[in-house]
Amino acid sequence: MSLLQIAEPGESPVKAACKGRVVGIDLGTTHSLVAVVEDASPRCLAVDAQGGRLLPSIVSYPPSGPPLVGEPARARAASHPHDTIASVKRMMGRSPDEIAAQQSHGRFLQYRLAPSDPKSPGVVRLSVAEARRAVTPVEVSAEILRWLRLCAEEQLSTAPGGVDEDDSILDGVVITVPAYFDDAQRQATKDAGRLAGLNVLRLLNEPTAAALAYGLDQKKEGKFAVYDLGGGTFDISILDLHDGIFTVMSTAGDTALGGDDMDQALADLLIDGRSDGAALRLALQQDPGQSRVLLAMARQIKHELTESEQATATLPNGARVAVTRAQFEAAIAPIVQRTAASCRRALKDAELSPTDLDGVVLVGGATRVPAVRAFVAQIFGQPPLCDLDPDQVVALGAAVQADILQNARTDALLIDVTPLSLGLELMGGIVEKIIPRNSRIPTGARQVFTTYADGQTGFDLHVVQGERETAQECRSLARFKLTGIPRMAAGMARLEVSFVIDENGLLAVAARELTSGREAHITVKPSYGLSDEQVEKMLLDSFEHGESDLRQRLLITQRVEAERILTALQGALARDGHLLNEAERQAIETAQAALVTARQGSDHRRIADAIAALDVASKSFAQRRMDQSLNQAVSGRAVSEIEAAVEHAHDIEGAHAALPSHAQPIDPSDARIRDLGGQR
Amino acid sequence: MPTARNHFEVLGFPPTYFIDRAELEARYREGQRHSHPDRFSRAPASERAQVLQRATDLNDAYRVLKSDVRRAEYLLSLRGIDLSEEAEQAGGKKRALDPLFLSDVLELREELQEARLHNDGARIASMGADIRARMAQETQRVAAGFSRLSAAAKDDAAALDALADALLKLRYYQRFLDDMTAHEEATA
Repeated sequence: MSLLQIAEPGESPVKAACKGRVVGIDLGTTHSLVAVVEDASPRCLAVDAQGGRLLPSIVSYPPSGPPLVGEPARARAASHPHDTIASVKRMMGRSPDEIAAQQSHGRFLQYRLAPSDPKSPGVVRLSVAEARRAVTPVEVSAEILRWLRLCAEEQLSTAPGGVDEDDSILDGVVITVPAYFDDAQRQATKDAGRLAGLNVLRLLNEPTAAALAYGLDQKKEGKFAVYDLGGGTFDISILDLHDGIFTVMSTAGDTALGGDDMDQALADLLIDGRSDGAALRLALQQDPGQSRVLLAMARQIKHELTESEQATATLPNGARVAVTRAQFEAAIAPIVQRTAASCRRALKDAELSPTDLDGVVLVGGATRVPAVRAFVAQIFGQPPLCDLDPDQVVALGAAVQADILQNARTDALLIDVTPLSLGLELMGGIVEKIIPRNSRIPTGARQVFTTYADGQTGFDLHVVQGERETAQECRSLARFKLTGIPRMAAGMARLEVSFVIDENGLLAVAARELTSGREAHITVKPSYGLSDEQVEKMLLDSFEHGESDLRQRLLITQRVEAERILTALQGALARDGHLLNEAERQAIETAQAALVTARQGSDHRRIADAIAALDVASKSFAQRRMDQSLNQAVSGRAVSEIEAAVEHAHDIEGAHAALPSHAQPIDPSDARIRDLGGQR
Repeated sequence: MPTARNHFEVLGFPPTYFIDRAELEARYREGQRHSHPDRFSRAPASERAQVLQRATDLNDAYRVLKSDVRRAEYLLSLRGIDLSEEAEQAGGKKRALDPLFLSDVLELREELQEARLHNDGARIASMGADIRARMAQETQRVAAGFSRLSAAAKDDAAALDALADALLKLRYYQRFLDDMTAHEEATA
């Protein structure tokens, strides 16, 4: 929502007239999702051939060919740690210096930094594909977005009223970002969207998205806090929900705090507690693949400790270690504690006390940790609400906002704030805040300044973002000059600077000298981000070895699915073919033959359609097979035989369930993640 | 941004200090419901520009009217008494505050420094409570001043001066509190 972008005064982003489909994307640190609104309610779309909704936010670059995204990429993390990028969100909008500083704290060590491009020295580049390529975090994120886009296009085009193959089905997308993302991080996210060929309608703050989905789903009214602890970021937002109007009252957070840090703390706990800990740590530093394995194991233990009081891990050197929940909670206590200051600040900015809140909503996978829930309950003095899936709720809200923007919905409206203060650097490096944090947008403010020296004919203006007192500690957004002011004694000239933030969070800055009455022309140059030419070039590169290959991979995926289904059906026909009459058998055989033909073709959608048709044709067959085996089972046999028969019935059910049909809704409780067949 | 209507007019209130908070919220929401740019995402550009201005005016008016201090300062500015620092910078008449008050604030600042030096959290907390109590008192003076003004047939210069005095004191106290919390946040 509050994408902050510097624009020429008077300029505003052009929003194309929308007519196609729109989706919402949650581009997460550990997982990403895509959702759409259909019949006024949002649902998440499948992101793999098995119907899973959570795409691991991992991209792996093999030495040749297209990058792998999601589960297949995760599978390469241990064997190719340098080429497999996880948690790229933590690098978005960061400078090479900032990443280097992180590395000195033991983060991102598995990655190799490539020298910066001399044309854009402020942009981080990672050496991947066995050092054959260098990619920016924006490009890595774009791979994830591109995959989600293809998944969405697949599923939305097979729906009734689908669009022509060559036409882009997606007209626009709302991508979520942590509320506390600064302008550089937002700009990087927007660039990634553009690079993925998406028309980004809006960047929406994650907790706001969650509140939107939650409020509409539960028809709630009142004041709510949304506590969002994700894989890599923490946000707290306080919202007022009233008659379909969602007003953000305040937001605060930490863009480098999340579940990943818990995994790291747990991994440290596993190693440091041992007598051979130092040696083990050294070995891990030399083998980034093993440290990935260790982190994955830490994550596994974290999940286990959500349910049980104790879990056991096997270290890379083969040793087995037991961890209790109490030990884990002690290790993560400092991380959880760090969220408290943000919570208090958000309450203060909203001018509320915890008792004024009608509820606290939990968002983000890390809020499943019992210690986090207990902590939230303690801070806000009430047990948190968790009736929506914390993994999906952000994507669902993004889809709702996309729908609001696309269809000018009248039953819901979102009023957001600018998360960080905006100001100007004054003489001596002090920051004068022009628009304070948590101002509702759109908004505007102006302030009058004067000259410092006699005969001064120009002003150097430096626009910064952040809460600190000195410009050096804030993030630089733009610098510009206002020249051509008549010579006057110090303090006589009067410079009026105005800041305007529109509904997209786009900032326009204008300056005018009042005594001479003349306005000077201002050229604003963003201090970071990618130029249009750079995005253009990256787009061309990706066309070379990205886009078409991804389509190819979708084809391969569907072929593998077809193969599996045909084999299963063949076995069933051989064994239970007698259950069918001639007409039924013919219908199945026709659909079967159609699938065989489609599988040989190169249109993955035709294969998907043929799979769906075969699914319909064989539905009653599957039902009858199940009835038969159950009947056989209960007609006077031993218990063990009955169990075996029930098992067999499950297998039939399973074989049937293996027929995926994109047009069908998928059971929301099934968020399993499995790899995409045929991708490796 | 320059706007033809003042903040009270934007939200349909008479220019008074005494505003019902719930009514303010309701009018703000109703206004946004009809003029938020997201409702007009498919309208022509000229209409969108108008809507954007209306929504901006609403947010700005709401921000000023919901805060007791900002609303009071704004009411004085409508009566020609500009308490903003810009006005002072631009050579406007600087209002003199009671020297006793100023030396009092200076002492408080020294006391805060001292407390920070000794990491005396309890002392800092009790100072915060003390300042808030003084602010509540000044806020009451402001409310009393405005009810006297609205009862009088014409503007009473002494009452206006008393109001300005209370508001300036509130500003000093607020800045003191802000510094206090900023420091606490930074060192937390």
